[in-house]
Amino acid sequence: MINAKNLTKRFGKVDALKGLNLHVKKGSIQGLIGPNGAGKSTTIKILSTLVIANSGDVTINDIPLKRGVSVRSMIGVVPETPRLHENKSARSELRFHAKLYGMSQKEAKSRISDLLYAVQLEDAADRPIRGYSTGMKKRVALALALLHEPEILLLDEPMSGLDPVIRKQFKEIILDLKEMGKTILVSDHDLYTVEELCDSVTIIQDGKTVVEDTIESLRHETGSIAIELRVSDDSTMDGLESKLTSLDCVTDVSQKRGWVIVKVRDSKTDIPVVIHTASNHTDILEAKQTKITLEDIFLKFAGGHHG
Amino acid sequence: MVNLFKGVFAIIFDELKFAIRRKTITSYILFSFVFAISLYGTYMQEYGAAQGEMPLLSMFPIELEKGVAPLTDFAIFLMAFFVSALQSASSGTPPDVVLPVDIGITLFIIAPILIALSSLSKLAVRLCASSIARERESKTLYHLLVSPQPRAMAYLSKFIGAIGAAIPMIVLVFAGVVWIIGASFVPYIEVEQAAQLKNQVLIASIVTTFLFASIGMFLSTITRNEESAVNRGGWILKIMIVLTTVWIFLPIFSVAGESTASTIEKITMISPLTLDMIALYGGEMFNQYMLIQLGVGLLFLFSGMMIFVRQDVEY
Repeated sequence: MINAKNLTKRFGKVDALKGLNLHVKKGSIQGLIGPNGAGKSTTIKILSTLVIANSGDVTINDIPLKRGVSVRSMIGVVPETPRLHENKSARSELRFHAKLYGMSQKEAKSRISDLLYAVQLEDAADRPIRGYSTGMKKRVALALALLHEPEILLLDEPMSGLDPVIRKQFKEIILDLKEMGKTILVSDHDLYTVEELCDSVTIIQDGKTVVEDTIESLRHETGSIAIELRVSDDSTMDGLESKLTSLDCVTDVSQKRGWVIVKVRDSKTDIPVVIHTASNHTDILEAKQTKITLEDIFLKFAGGHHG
Repeated sequence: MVNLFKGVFAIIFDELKFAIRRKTITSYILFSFVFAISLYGTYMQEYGAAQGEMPLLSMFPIELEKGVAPLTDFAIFLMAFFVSALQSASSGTPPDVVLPVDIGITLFIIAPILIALSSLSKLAVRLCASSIARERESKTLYHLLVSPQPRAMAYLSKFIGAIGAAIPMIVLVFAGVVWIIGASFVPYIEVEQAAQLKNQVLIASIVTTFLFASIGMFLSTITRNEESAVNRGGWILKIMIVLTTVWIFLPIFSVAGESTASTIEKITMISPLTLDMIALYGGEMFNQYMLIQLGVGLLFLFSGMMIFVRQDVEY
């Protein structure tokens, strides 16, 4: 659905993108994650046709991005901080955009009513936007992005500045959109949100793609399961770490606040081996099993530069 | 396929609404006041069909050389105007000097028409300079550019919307022109000449508005915020007005010394006013001058459009 190859973008003397690759499958929700300044927003802006790449090829639904008009009919964009015409109401802002998309008055009226209902802005729809909260503005931006029923949604930090209640509503709306078959690219700092929403992720760093795959595959590569072990004698932790590192079934070992964290791929076969090896080396006070998070994956691939 | 025309009209009307709401009311009040006074001042002079040396002109050892030395004629016109105005002011009665119609037409060009063209230019450059820069500053430009409207179309629609607010001013100018020509000059000039004069003023109003609107759009494209864009437009206009004023007074010096006269005459030949005056002696020169203005306007408009089409936009 979205294919970007060797994208480069230079702003003055700064290389924002240095050959980024991105592949988003139809009907999926893909996360675009990376440290601050990695090039996430620039990528979204290029896909939105707002920023022009210096080189590289981008196709959306097999249509080259250069054919801006055809591409823009297929995409909806929600920016990190949506700026709206403050003197207008949500309804008149939507009405203006409906005209930009060539919608008939009748079609626009019914679509706007549906969207205002969906984003829960019916009561405030005729009030000037300048009195809206950040969450309300974000909901207007989402309604604007969905107005022309695009196949693809580009969401840049959709959850930033939202309170927990609105975040939950937003998540539900995004998951509903996926159910409707939309293809969604989400750039977000909140890795827990990305993990909850996305099927796959593209991790970028310094303007390049570090890794791109489904979260499950990356979890498998990182180690699907983490076992946290607490030992009675802290002086044995270093020895235990090197002992466990030598095991074939272990993908990673680290220490964190008195715990030794061991990552393995298979819970059934690998955990007993780890416990047995650890018990032989030192006294184990406590052991618990946790799932590998997207944060673990991110830290492994992005080298701990998460901003 | 998206219906582009709906979008185009939406942008035009949105920009026009904004222009009317925020930028034009003060300009229109000021313009109406100054334009009305200058028109009335021109109207109050008494014009006649006298040719050759007039009693007034005998005060100066210079003869009118119609069509041969328009710059010299212009200097005489100015002096004639000042003398008659002084006479009127000192005696408290309407001037008893009957000015030739040529002087009347020239004064009409110098005062009300230059004021009208300056007001139109100011309005056009301000409205257009704010159009894109305003949206870039408030970061609302992205809405327009992620829609299926081609960027070039969005740019031209904003241009049309902004310039639309100047149309009533052009109509007012034309109405004033029709009135003053009918009231003061028609009995003394041929019908074709009167019609040509009206057409020339109308064309000059439209072309000048277009030129400054195009400069405004260009500035709006290359400037990051509204205030800077409008200020830059204002500065360009001020420079043009100062240069025009200098050009107006240069012909006076051209009669002072023979040695410098030819040099000054060459310089003044590039003056819009000089060219406007020469246009009174022949329509061809006027048309050429208007074509140059139109060409420069198109150059600014399309340069701005090409930059805008390739420009990165933030949200």
